[in-house]
Amino acid sequence: MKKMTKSMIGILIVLLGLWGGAWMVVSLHESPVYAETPSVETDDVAEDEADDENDEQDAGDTNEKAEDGIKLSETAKVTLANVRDFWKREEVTPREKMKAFPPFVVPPRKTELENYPCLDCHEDAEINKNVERTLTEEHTNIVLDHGEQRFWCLNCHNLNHMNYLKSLKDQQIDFNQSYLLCGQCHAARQKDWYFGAHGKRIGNWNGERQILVCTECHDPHSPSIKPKQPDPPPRRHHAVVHVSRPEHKSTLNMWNIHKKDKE
Amino acid sequence: MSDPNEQLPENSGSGSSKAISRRKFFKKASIAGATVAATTAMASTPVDGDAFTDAVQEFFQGHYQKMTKEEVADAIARLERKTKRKYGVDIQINNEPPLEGVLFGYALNISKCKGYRKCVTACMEENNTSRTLQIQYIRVLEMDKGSMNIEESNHYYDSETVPQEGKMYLPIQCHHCENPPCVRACPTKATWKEDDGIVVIDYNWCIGCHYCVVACPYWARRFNWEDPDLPPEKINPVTHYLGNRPRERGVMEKCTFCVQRTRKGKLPACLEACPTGARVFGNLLDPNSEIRYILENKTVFRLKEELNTNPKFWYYTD
Repeated sequence: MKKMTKSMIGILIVLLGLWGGAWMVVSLHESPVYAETPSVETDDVAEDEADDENDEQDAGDTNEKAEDGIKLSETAKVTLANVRDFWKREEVTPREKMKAFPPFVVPPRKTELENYPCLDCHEDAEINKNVERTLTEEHTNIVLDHGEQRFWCLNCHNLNHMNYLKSLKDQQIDFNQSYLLCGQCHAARQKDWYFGAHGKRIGNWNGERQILVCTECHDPHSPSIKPKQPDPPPRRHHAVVHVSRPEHKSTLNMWNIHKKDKE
Repeated sequence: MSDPNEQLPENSGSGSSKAISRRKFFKKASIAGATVAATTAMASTPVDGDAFTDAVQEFFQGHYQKMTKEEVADAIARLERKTKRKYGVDIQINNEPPLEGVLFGYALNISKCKGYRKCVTACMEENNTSRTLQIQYIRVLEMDKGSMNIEESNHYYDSETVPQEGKMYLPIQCHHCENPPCVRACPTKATWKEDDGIVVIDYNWCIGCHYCVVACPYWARRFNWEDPDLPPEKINPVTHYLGNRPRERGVMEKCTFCVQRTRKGKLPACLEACPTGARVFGNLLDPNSEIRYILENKTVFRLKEELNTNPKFWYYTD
């Protein structure tokens, strides 16, 4: 029996060696993918040389040349055709997709604004200059911290009709629809808000969709959310071990802590 | 120290001095039998009763899913009377069934959550949770930015202001899984998944064994270790039998997606309280809903996806 076992082991080793060798041969023989595509440089060189010699004969290439003045290889032409085909305008344009949001209503803002209507004062006030300056007489509590000096009051506020805001095209935007103004720069955020991924819904989850406008949460003159004090933490019950060591960050980690102690 | 060979006293075991006569036995048995018969008679008669009758009837109350409509109505009336006796407050326990064609889903924007815990407080007030134990269904985990190590998170953070530098906040509550491990673990079937996707508990059927606590991967379950001594002026009188009706000592509870509100079309209390609008709630079966837009267009993830619990609570980023 022992003699037979030794020979069996020897046979096994030989078989393993054969199998391993066959595997190595097969794996080395695999051709990498890039070897199949023709390289770009050779084509360009060939075409350049041909072009230099026969300018007028290359009628097929004149379209490409006239279009963008760049010599395109065969591969580049194929790639360009793919890209243009890929980005061909769809049936539904992005603008139309944006308009397909579920309908909503917003609670009015005009009633919440302290100084609205603006014309109460500005009708009889001194004619305003459309010159950037720091206000010293009124509205001194407003400090513009939005846009890092890239704009000032009259970029959003409408000098022609002070009860409205204005768009980049000098169109009137009502204070109750101030989101139209914000969306001029913050278009991606506005799209999210239209579709419900940003902002807050109030009232109900079905039926009429009531959502808050931007300025309910974001002060338009200083829109970033400031840190606030949180509500108190959960009470630690008597069942939980009270320790003051910093490793005890959470009760969930208790067994890990004790494991560390043993190491 | 006792001598093993010492004889045992006579009174231990089946000693003959404890023998009872047949007459005495039958007398005692018939009294016991009469008591049982009386109590079962009291249990089966639906009577506008006193504390004792109510208690007996509550003891013999069946499982919510097996009771008839009348029995459920009786149970609700009993519970309303009980709350009145205990707290002096008139509450209304509703029993709205799930809405047709609705499967609730929740999404939370972790880019927006700043850790204010307003959701936690609002949930406590809405759901009549135990004030003695300060039971909070929602737990806000504070983690280092760039990590998703929930096990190393801290939910006892108590900083001056939030958000703290370099920290992110992840509120976690019952995820109302489509494949809930707690439902499978419950030995009495006191917890089950309703047709609108909400995982509910019948507090009168729960025996408080904590199997669901062990099963839940999201630490959603809370237990009433003590009698939830609710301050009467803080009790929310609009309740649901499977939701926020006042519970008693010894039963499990958890987030119910505010079943008393959502089955009427209203938003959950946590969503209404969130100052940053990080929470989104809606019907997953409605293709035009906000939650569906988020699932289809934003970067969403769920916790512990590999456990195959199929939770209906997604987290997403801007």
